[in-house]
Amino acid sequence: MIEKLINKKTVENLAELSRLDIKESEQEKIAEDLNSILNYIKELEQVPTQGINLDFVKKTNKEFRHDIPQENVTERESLIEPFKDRDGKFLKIPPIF
Amino acid sequence: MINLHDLTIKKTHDLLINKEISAFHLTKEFFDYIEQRDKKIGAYLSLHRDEALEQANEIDKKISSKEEIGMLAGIPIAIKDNILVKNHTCTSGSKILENYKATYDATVIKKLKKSGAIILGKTNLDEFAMGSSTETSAFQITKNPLDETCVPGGSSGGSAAAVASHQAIASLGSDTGGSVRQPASFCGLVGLKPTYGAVSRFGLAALASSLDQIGTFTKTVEDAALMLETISGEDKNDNTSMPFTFKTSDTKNLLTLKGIKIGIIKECFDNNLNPEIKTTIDANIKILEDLGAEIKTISLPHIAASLPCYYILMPAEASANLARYDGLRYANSKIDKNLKDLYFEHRGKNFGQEVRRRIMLGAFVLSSGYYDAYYLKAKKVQQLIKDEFRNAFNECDVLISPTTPSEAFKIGEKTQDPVSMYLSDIFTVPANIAGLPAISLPIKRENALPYGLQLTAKHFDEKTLLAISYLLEKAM
Repeated sequence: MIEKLINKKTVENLAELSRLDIKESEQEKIAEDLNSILNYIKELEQVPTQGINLDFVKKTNKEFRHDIPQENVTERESLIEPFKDRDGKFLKIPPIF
Repeated sequence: MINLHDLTIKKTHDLLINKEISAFHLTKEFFDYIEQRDKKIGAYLSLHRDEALEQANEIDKKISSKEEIGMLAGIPIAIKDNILVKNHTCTSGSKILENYKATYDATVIKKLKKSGAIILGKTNLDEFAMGSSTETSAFQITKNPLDETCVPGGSSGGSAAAVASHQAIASLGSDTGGSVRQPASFCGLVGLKPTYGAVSRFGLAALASSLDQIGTFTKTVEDAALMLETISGEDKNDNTSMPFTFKTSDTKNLLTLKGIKIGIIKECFDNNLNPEIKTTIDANIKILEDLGAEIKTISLPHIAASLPCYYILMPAEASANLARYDGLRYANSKIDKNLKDLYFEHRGKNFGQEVRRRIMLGAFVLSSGYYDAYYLKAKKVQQLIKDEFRNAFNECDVLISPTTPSEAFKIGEKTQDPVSMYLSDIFTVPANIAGLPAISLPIKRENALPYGLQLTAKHFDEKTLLAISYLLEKAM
């Protein structure tokens, strides 16, 4: 039995969170696919994980690099280059509100 | 006339330094061949003809002035189109980057260029490397050169098909859950995914940063070693990269496998495994035993949880990584709407079905109320799997399993059922979950598509992984 965690309403909400324009006609198929994936993922519930400490909080021997500003024109150029709408060194974006 | 079908990096290098061919003619020959062959295969998305021929000329000058050249100098290679090559488009297989031109070289490209390798062009892939068949590419379907009704695998299907159809001598792909090893298996090639941290990902379009690794497609194990030697090493631009060095010569250190312990992963050989794959892998285990290896059966009780674990971690990271495609960057249109409408329209219109699905799945597993049940649970299962691998490597040097549960499947066979598509990565995902190096070696079959045999080693033990692979390849 496939448990239905996701319905058309959830798809609408996820699309909103993900900033994706999704047509209403597509919602049902997306819900169906996501449910079948989540149903597969449910297998994880069977795996015992009590007392497991996570590695990702352990200290690694990697050091953060020092925060020293560097004059690096190529990097700056390569960062702003992908913005097509520019005025000199200013990037044009639409108003937020 | 050169027979492109026989060329490996090593052979080509010898031909070049003995002046039996020039780099220029070789490169031209490849482009002429691509022009006719790729109409059928669809491996390439773009070709860098002029620049490649110019690079080749430079190599010829060095050879004629008796300058010493490296092993990769003059070698025509192909690059997956999610790795940046300066001044060339890098689409990541997506409409959203259709017109994006890279403004810098990825670290691996810098290293390849420095070594004198000739970049022929960029290869097709599943959109943002999300897929196992290269069918989610926004641009074209790539066919398996061994059977054109079948997929080449994915997501690095273009890079695999290019080498398998002799349209490049070697290629680069990326492997987040098997995207190098699975297509290598489907196309009969050697596919190497190095340890997480062995190769810089700077300049690789990120899918899931804690799992992504750049890997290689080659015809031989020695060629894989040569590629790895060139592209590996620490890079200040990728803070996860480590001071790892690798020498190709180490690959030939072993004369027998005496003293080497090889673990058969018990859970990969259960009753669900295709009996034909089991028989072919068993035959190779026998070869390893004859070479002197001690064979053990090893249990990794939760290895099967790797794939569901992956389908939480990967979309979670992908949904964050793909937030940068906002319609302001990498877009061509002038901006004439408000910000929110721009986001929705640009992303909704330009991301394909699989990408949208994974972004939404990522948003779901990270959302409030579900985070602990999904993301945190998956991180814990990942830790458990890592620990099980660590224990296994206390008892053996490498682990053996099939690369895939089947040979290449038909084009269109799995596109309607995402879970069945995902399951083709069931044996490759564990190495990504644990950050381990793994290689797929081709098992060729008469009148049938090849299978892949996968070996997995300890972190940064590519030396042992490739040395064993080298001996097995010779004995196969």
